[in-house]
Amino acid sequence: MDMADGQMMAAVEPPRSGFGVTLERSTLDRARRGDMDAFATIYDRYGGACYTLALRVLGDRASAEDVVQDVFLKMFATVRGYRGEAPFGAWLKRLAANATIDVLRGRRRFHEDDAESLVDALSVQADTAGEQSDAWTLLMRLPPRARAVLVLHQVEGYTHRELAALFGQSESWSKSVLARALKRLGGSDPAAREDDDDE
Amino acid sequence: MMSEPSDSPAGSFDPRALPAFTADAALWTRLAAARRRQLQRQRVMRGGAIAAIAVAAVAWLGWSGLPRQPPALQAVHATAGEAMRESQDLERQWRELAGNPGRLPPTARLQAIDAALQSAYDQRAGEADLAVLWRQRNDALRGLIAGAQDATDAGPGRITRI
Repeated sequence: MDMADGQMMAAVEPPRSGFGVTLERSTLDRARRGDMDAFATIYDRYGGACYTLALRVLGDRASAEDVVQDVFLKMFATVRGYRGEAPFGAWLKRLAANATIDVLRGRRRFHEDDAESLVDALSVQADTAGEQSDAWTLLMRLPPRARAVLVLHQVEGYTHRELAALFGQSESWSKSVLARALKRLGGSDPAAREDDDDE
Repeated sequence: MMSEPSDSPAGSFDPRALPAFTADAALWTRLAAARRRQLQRQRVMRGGAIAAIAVAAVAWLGWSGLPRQPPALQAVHATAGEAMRESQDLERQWRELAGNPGRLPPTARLQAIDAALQSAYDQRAGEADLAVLWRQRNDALRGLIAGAQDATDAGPGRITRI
Protein backbone atom coordinates (compact mmCIF):
# COMPACT_ATOMS: atom_id res chain seq x y z
CA MET A 1 0.00 0.00 0.00
CA ASP A 2 1.03 3.55 -0.64
CA MET A 3 2.17 5.33 2.48
CA ALA A 4 2.41 8.98 3.31
CA ASP A 5 6.17 9.18 2.96
CA GLY A 6 7.76 11.21 5.68
CA GLN A 7 4.46 12.54 6.95
CA MET A 8 3.84 10.21 9.80
CA MET A 9 3.74 11.43 13.34
CA ALA A 10 4.61 9.34 16.34
CA ALA A 11 1.44 8.08 17.94
CA VAL A 12 1.97 5.15 20.20
CA GLU A 13 -0.42 6.26 22.92
CA PRO A 14 -2.54 8.95 21.29
CA PRO A 15 -6.09 9.88 22.07
CA ARG A 16 -8.29 7.58 20.03
CA SER A 17 -9.15 10.20 17.51
CA GLY A 18 -8.16 13.79 16.80
CA PHE A 19 -11.82 14.67 16.35
CA GLY A 20 -12.15 14.92 20.14
CA VAL A 21 -10.36 18.28 20.17
CA THR A 22 -12.65 21.14 21.16
CA LEU A 23 -13.31 24.28 19.14
CA GLU A 24 -13.83 27.69 20.69
CA ARG A 25 -17.22 29.25 20.24
CA SER A 26 -15.65 32.44 18.89
CA THR A 27 -13.82 30.53 16.14
CA LEU A 28 -17.02 28.76 15.18
CA ASP A 29 -18.93 32.04 15.07
CA ARG A 30 -16.27 33.57 12.84
CA ALA A 31 -16.37 30.53 10.55
CA ARG A 32 -20.14 30.92 10.29
CA ARG A 33 -19.53 34.45 9.03
CA GLY A 34 -17.15 33.07 6.40
CA ASP A 35 -13.92 34.21 8.07
CA MET A 36 -11.06 32.47 6.24
CA ASP A 37 -8.74 32.72 9.27
CA ALA A 38 -11.31 30.79 11.31
CA PHE A 39 -11.42 28.12 8.61
CA ALA A 40 -7.63 27.92 8.76
CA THR A 41 -7.82 27.41 12.53
CA ILE A 42 -10.38 24.65 12.07
CA TYR A 43 -8.20 23.03 9.46
CA ASP A 44 -5.16 23.19 11.76
CA ARG A 45 -7.16 21.51 14.47
CA TYR A 46 -9.04 18.82 12.56
CA GLY A 47 -7.29 18.47 9.21
CA GLY A 48 -4.95 15.81 10.55
CA ALA A 49 -7.79 13.79 12.04
CA CYS A 50 -9.70 13.86 8.76
CA TYR A 51 -6.62 12.90 6.81
CA THR A 52 -5.74 10.10 9.22
CA LEU A 53 -9.24 8.62 9.10
CA ALA A 54 -9.33 8.70 5.31
CA LEU A 55 -5.80 7.34 4.93
CA ARG A 56 -6.42 4.50 7.36
CA VAL A 57 -9.45 3.41 5.38
CA LEU A 58 -8.39 4.21 1.82
CA GLY A 59 -4.71 3.41 2.17
CA ASP A 60 -3.38 5.97 -0.27
CA ARG A 61 -2.37 9.54 0.29
CA ALA A 62 -3.89 11.12 -2.83
CA SER A 63 -7.36 9.75 -2.12
CA ALA A 64 -7.09 10.78 1.53
CA GLU A 65 -6.18 14.34 0.51
CA ASP A 66 -9.15 14.40 -1.86
CA VAL A 67 -11.39 13.40 1.03
CA VAL A 68 -9.96 16.15 3.24
CA GLN A 69 -10.58 18.68 0.49
CA ASP A 70 -14.15 17.50 -0.03
CA VAL A 71 -14.87 17.51 3.69
CA PHE A 72 -13.55 21.00 4.31
CA LEU A 73 -15.20 22.50 1.25
CA LYS A 74 -18.47 20.98 2.42
CA MET A 75 -17.83 22.28 5.92
CA PHE A 76 -17.14 25.79 4.59
CA ALA A 77 -20.43 25.71 2.72
CA THR A 78 -22.57 24.23 5.50
CA VAL A 79 -21.09 25.43 8.78
CA ARG A 80 -23.81 28.06 9.06
CA GLY A 81 -26.29 25.22 9.37
CA TYR A 82 -24.33 23.49 12.13
CA ARG A 83 -26.50 23.93 15.20
CA GLY A 84 -24.07 22.73 17.82
CA GLU A 85 -26.21 19.82 18.99
CA ALA A 86 -23.19 17.49 18.71
CA PRO A 87 -19.58 18.54 19.33
CA PHE A 88 -18.06 20.16 16.27
CA GLY A 89 -15.45 17.41 15.98
CA ALA A 90 -18.15 14.74 15.93
CA TRP A 91 -20.01 16.62 13.21
CA LEU A 92 -16.86 16.92 11.15
CA LYS A 93 -16.00 13.27 11.75
CA ARG A 94 -19.36 12.29 10.30
CA LEU A 95 -18.63 14.38 7.20
CA ALA A 96 -15.22 12.72 6.90
CA ALA A 97 -16.58 9.20 7.37
CA ASN A 98 -19.32 9.78 4.81
CA ALA A 99 -16.87 11.23 2.28
CA THR A 100 -14.50 8.31 2.81
CA ILE A 101 -17.23 5.73 2.35
CA ASP A 102 -18.36 7.59 -0.76
CA VAL A 103 -14.88 7.07 -2.22
CA LEU A 104 -15.11 3.36 -1.44
CA ARG A 105 -18.52 3.23 -3.08
CA GLY A 106 -17.09 4.95 -6.13
CA ARG A 107 -14.42 2.32 -6.45
CA ARG A 108 -17.02 -0.44 -6.50
CA ARG A 109 -14.39 -3.02 -5.74
CA PHE A 110 -16.33 -4.55 -2.91
CA HIS A 111 -19.34 -6.12 -4.45
CA GLU A 112 -18.67 -9.02 -2.10
CA ASP A 113 -21.16 -7.74 0.44
CA ASP A 114 -21.39 -10.80 2.58
CA ALA A 115 -19.00 -10.62 5.48
CA GLU A 116 -17.36 -13.96 4.83
CA SER A 117 -16.19 -13.29 1.30
CA LEU A 118 -15.22 -9.75 2.26
CA VAL A 119 -12.72 -10.82 4.90
CA ASP A 120 -11.69 -13.90 2.96
CA ALA A 121 -10.37 -11.48 0.39
CA LEU A 122 -7.47 -10.84 2.75
CA SER A 123 -4.04 -11.08 1.25
CA VAL A 124 -2.37 -14.46 1.58
CA GLN A 125 0.56 -12.65 3.15
CA ALA A 126 -1.55 -11.80 6.14
CA ASP A 127 -1.11 -15.23 7.63
CA THR A 128 2.61 -15.33 7.11
CA ALA A 129 3.67 -11.83 8.01
CA GLY A 130 5.98 -12.17 10.91
CA GLU A 131 8.54 -9.51 10.30
CA GLN A 132 6.14 -6.65 9.52
CA SER A 133 3.33 -7.15 11.93
CA ASP A 134 2.82 -3.61 13.20
CA ALA A 135 -0.69 -2.25 13.38
CA TRP A 136 -0.52 -0.25 10.15
CA THR A 137 0.82 -3.13 8.08
CA LEU A 138 -1.78 -5.45 9.48
CA LEU A 139 -4.56 -2.96 8.82
CA MET A 140 -3.46 -2.49 5.23
CA ARG A 141 -3.81 -6.19 4.62
CA LEU A 142 -7.56 -5.97 5.09
CA PRO A 143 -9.83 -5.15 2.17
CA PRO A 144 -10.82 -1.46 2.25
CA ARG A 145 -14.38 -2.06 3.39
CA ALA A 146 -13.32 -4.28 6.27
CA ARG A 147 -10.73 -1.64 7.14
CA ALA A 148 -13.45 0.97 7.19
CA VAL A 149 -15.60 -1.07 9.56
CA LEU A 150 -12.66 -1.77 11.83
CA VAL A 151 -11.34 1.81 11.93
CA LEU A 152 -14.73 3.42 12.36
CA HIS A 153 -15.75 1.02 15.12
CA GLN A 154 -12.51 0.46 16.99
CA VAL A 155 -10.95 3.89 16.63
CA GLU A 156 -13.70 6.38 15.85
CA GLY A 157 -16.33 4.87 18.11
CA TYR A 158 -19.06 4.16 15.60
CA THR A 159 -21.72 1.72 16.77
CA HIS A 160 -22.76 -1.23 14.65
CA ARG A 161 -26.08 0.46 14.13
CA GLU A 162 -24.35 3.51 12.72
CA LEU A 163 -22.07 1.36 10.58
CA ALA A 164 -25.05 -0.56 9.26
CA ALA A 165 -26.71 2.70 8.23
CA LEU A 166 -23.48 4.02 6.73
CA PHE A 167 -22.93 0.95 4.58
CA GLY A 168 -26.57 0.17 3.87
CA GLN A 169 -26.21 -3.22 5.55
CA SER A 170 -27.53 -4.94 8.64
CA GLU A 171 -26.02 -4.66 12.11
CA SER A 172 -25.17 -8.34 12.01
CA TRP A 173 -23.19 -7.73 8.80
CA SER A 174 -21.16 -5.05 10.56
CA LYS A 175 -20.56 -7.26 13.61
CA SER A 176 -19.57 -10.17 11.45
CA VAL A 177 -17.12 -8.14 9.33
CA LEU A 178 -15.50 -6.71 12.44
CA ALA A 179 -15.23 -10.03 14.23
CA ARG A 180 -13.71 -11.76 11.23
CA ALA A 181 -11.32 -8.90 10.52
CA LEU A 182 -10.09 -8.84 14.10
CA LYS A 183 -9.78 -12.58 14.20
CA ARG A 184 -7.69 -12.51 11.05
CA LEU A 185 -5.48 -9.80 12.47
CA GLY A 186 -5.14 -11.50 15.83
CA GLY A 187 -6.78 -8.56 17.61
CA SER A 188 -9.01 -8.53 20.64
CA ASP A 189 -12.52 -9.89 20.64
CA PRO A 190 -14.92 -7.06 19.90
CA ALA A 191 -17.69 -8.72 21.89
CA ALA A 192 -17.48 -6.13 24.63
CA ARG A 193 -18.00 -3.23 22.22
CA GLU A 194 -20.84 -5.08 20.53
CA ASP A 195 -22.54 -5.39 23.88
CA ASP A 196 -22.10 -1.66 24.34
CA ASP A 197 -23.72 -1.04 21.00
CA ASP A 198 -26.77 -3.00 21.92
CA GLU A 199 -27.54 -0.85 24.92
CA MET B 1 7.58 3.77 4.74
CA MET B 2 6.94 3.22 8.42
CA SER B 3 8.62 5.59 10.78
CA GLU B 4 7.23 4.50 14.09
CA PRO B 5 6.76 0.79 14.60
CA SER B 6 4.12 -0.10 17.13
CA ASP B 7 4.50 -2.00 20.33
CA SER B 8 2.10 -4.67 19.15
CA PRO B 9 3.29 -8.20 19.44
CA ALA B 10 3.79 -9.95 16.12
CA GLY B 11 0.55 -10.96 14.53
CA SER B 12 -1.59 -9.08 17.05
CA PHE B 13 -3.59 -6.03 15.96
CA ASP B 14 -3.92 -3.14 18.38
CA PRO B 15 -5.92 -0.22 16.92
CA ARG B 16 -4.44 2.12 19.54
CA ALA B 17 -1.05 1.58 17.95
CA LEU B 18 -2.14 2.87 14.56
CA PRO B 19 -0.08 5.88 13.53
CA ALA B 20 -1.60 9.32 13.02
CA PHE B 21 -0.77 11.32 9.92
CA THR B 22 -0.52 14.89 8.79
CA ALA B 23 -1.45 15.89 5.27
CA ASP B 24 0.86 17.61 2.84
CA ALA B 25 1.47 21.20 3.92
CA ALA B 26 0.33 22.41 0.49
CA LEU B 27 -3.13 20.95 1.02
CA TRP B 28 -4.37 24.02 2.91
CA THR B 29 -3.17 26.26 0.07
CA ARG B 30 -5.12 24.16 -2.42
CA LEU B 31 -8.11 24.13 -0.11
CA ALA B 32 -8.09 27.90 0.32
CA ALA B 33 -7.86 28.34 -3.47
CA ALA B 34 -10.75 25.92 -3.95
CA ARG B 35 -12.74 27.90 -1.36
CA ARG B 36 -12.13 31.12 -3.32
CA ARG B 37 -13.35 29.41 -6.51
CA GLN B 38 -16.37 28.12 -4.59
CA LEU B 39 -17.23 31.66 -3.44
CA GLN B 40 -16.69 33.04 -6.94
CA ARG B 41 -19.10 30.47 -8.39
CA GLN B 42 -21.66 31.35 -5.72
CA ARG B 43 -21.32 35.06 -6.52
CA VAL B 44 -21.74 34.42 -10.25
CA MET B 45 -24.81 32.28 -9.60
CA ARG B 46 -26.29 34.90 -7.27
CA GLY B 47 -25.53 37.63 -9.82
CA GLY B 48 -27.13 35.58 -12.58
CA ALA B 49 -30.23 35.05 -10.50
CA ILE B 50 -30.47 38.76 -9.67
CA ALA B 51 -29.94 39.71 -13.31
CA ALA B 52 -32.60 37.22 -14.39
CA ILE B 53 -35.05 38.65 -11.87
CA ALA B 54 -34.21 42.17 -12.98
CA VAL B 55 -34.69 41.29 -16.64
CA ALA B 56 -37.99 39.60 -15.86
CA ALA B 57 -39.15 42.63 -13.86
CA VAL B 58 -38.17 45.02 -16.62
CA ALA B 59 -39.84 42.84 -19.23
CA TRP B 60 -43.01 42.80 -17.15
CA LEU B 61 -42.89 46.57 -16.75
CA GLY B 62 -42.29 46.86 -20.49
CA TRP B 63 -45.40 44.89 -21.29
CA SER B 64 -47.59 46.65 -18.80
CA GLY B 65 -46.10 50.14 -19.15
CA LEU B 66 -46.06 53.01 -21.59
CA PRO B 67 -47.14 52.99 -25.26
CA ARG B 68 -45.10 50.70 -27.42
CA GLN B 69 -43.15 51.60 -30.52
CA PRO B 70 -43.57 49.88 -33.87
CA PRO B 71 -40.93 47.20 -34.43
CA ALA B 72 -39.35 49.21 -37.23
CA LEU B 73 -38.18 51.81 -34.72
CA GLN B 74 -36.57 49.31 -32.38
CA ALA B 75 -32.88 49.19 -33.11
CA VAL B 76 -31.04 45.95 -32.64
CA HIS B 77 -27.73 46.39 -30.87
CA ALA B 78 -24.85 44.03 -30.82
CA THR B 79 -23.29 45.33 -27.63
CA ALA B 80 -24.19 46.96 -24.36
CA GLY B 81 -21.86 49.85 -25.27
CA GLU B 82 -23.83 50.71 -28.41
CA ALA B 83 -27.12 50.43 -26.54
CA MET B 84 -25.75 52.66 -23.79
CA ARG B 85 -24.65 55.34 -26.29
CA GLU B 86 -28.07 55.24 -27.94
CA SER B 87 -29.63 55.55 -24.52
CA GLN B 88 -27.66 58.74 -23.90
CA ASP B 89 -28.82 60.17 -27.26
CA LEU B 90 -32.43 59.27 -26.54
CA GLU B 91 -32.22 60.85 -23.10
CA ARG B 92 -30.88 64.07 -24.70
CA GLN B 93 -33.77 64.07 -27.19
CA TRP B 94 -36.27 63.61 -24.41
CA ARG B 95 -34.79 66.54 -22.46
CA GLU B 96 -34.93 68.79 -25.53
CA LEU B 97 -38.55 67.88 -26.20
CA ALA B 98 -39.48 68.42 -22.62
CA GLY B 99 -37.70 71.76 -22.66
CA ASN B 100 -35.75 70.82 -19.57
CA PRO B 101 -31.99 70.48 -20.04
CA GLY B 102 -31.41 69.52 -16.43
CA ARG B 103 -32.52 66.54 -14.45
CA LEU B 104 -35.85 65.15 -15.63
CA PRO B 105 -38.46 63.82 -13.30
CA PRO B 106 -37.98 60.04 -13.05
CA THR B 107 -40.62 57.62 -14.16
CA ALA B 108 -41.36 54.33 -12.43
CA ARG B 109 -40.27 52.32 -15.42
CA LEU B 110 -37.00 54.20 -15.89
CA GLN B 111 -36.28 53.96 -12.19
CA ALA B 112 -36.79 50.20 -12.26
CA ILE B 113 -34.55 49.82 -15.28
CA ASP B 114 -31.83 52.03 -13.83
CA ALA B 115 -31.93 50.03 -10.59
CA ALA B 116 -31.67 46.81 -12.54
CA LEU B 117 -28.76 48.20 -14.54
CA GLN B 118 -26.97 49.30 -11.38
CA SER B 119 -27.49 45.86 -9.87
CA ALA B 120 -26.26 44.18 -13.05
CA TYR B 121 -23.08 46.27 -13.08
CA ASP B 122 -22.54 45.62 -9.36
CA GLN B 123 -22.83 41.90 -10.01
CA ARG B 124 -20.52 42.13 -13.00
CA ALA B 125 -23.21 40.81 -15.31
CA GLY B 126 -22.25 39.78 -18.81
CA GLU B 127 -22.43 41.89 -21.97
CA ALA B 128 -25.61 40.20 -23.15
CA ASP B 129 -27.47 40.84 -19.88
CA LEU B 130 -26.38 44.48 -19.84
CA ALA B 131 -27.37 44.95 -23.49
CA VAL B 132 -30.86 43.64 -22.74
CA LEU B 133 -31.27 46.15 -19.94
CA TRP B 134 -29.94 49.05 -21.99
CA ARG B 135 -32.35 48.14 -24.79
CA GLN B 136 -35.18 48.11 -22.28
CA ARG B 137 -34.10 51.56 -21.16
CA ASN B 138 -34.03 52.76 -24.76
CA ASP B 139 -37.55 51.43 -25.33
CA ALA B 140 -38.73 53.27 -22.26
CA LEU B 141 -37.09 56.50 -23.42
CA ARG B 142 -38.66 56.13 -26.88
CA GLY B 143 -42.00 55.82 -25.19
CA LEU B 144 -41.36 58.98 -23.20
CA ILE B 145 -40.19 60.83 -26.31
CA ALA B 146 -43.33 59.77 -28.20
CA GLY B 147 -45.44 60.95 -25.29
CA ALA B 148 -43.60 64.27 -25.19
CA GLN B 149 -44.05 64.74 -28.95
CA ASP B 150 -47.78 64.07 -28.61
CA ALA B 151 -48.00 66.59 -25.82
CA THR B 152 -46.07 69.20 -27.86
CA ASP B 153 -48.36 68.65 -30.85
CA ALA B 154 -51.43 68.99 -28.67
CA GLY B 155 -50.33 72.38 -27.37
CA PRO B 156 -48.44 74.01 -24.48
CA GLY B 157 -49.01 72.80 -20.97
CA ARG B 158 -49.55 69.14 -21.82
CA ILE B 159 -45.87 68.34 -21.52
CA THR B 160 -46.02 68.60 -17.75
CA ARG B 161 -48.03 65.38 -17.76
CA ILE B 162 -44.95 63.29 -18.58
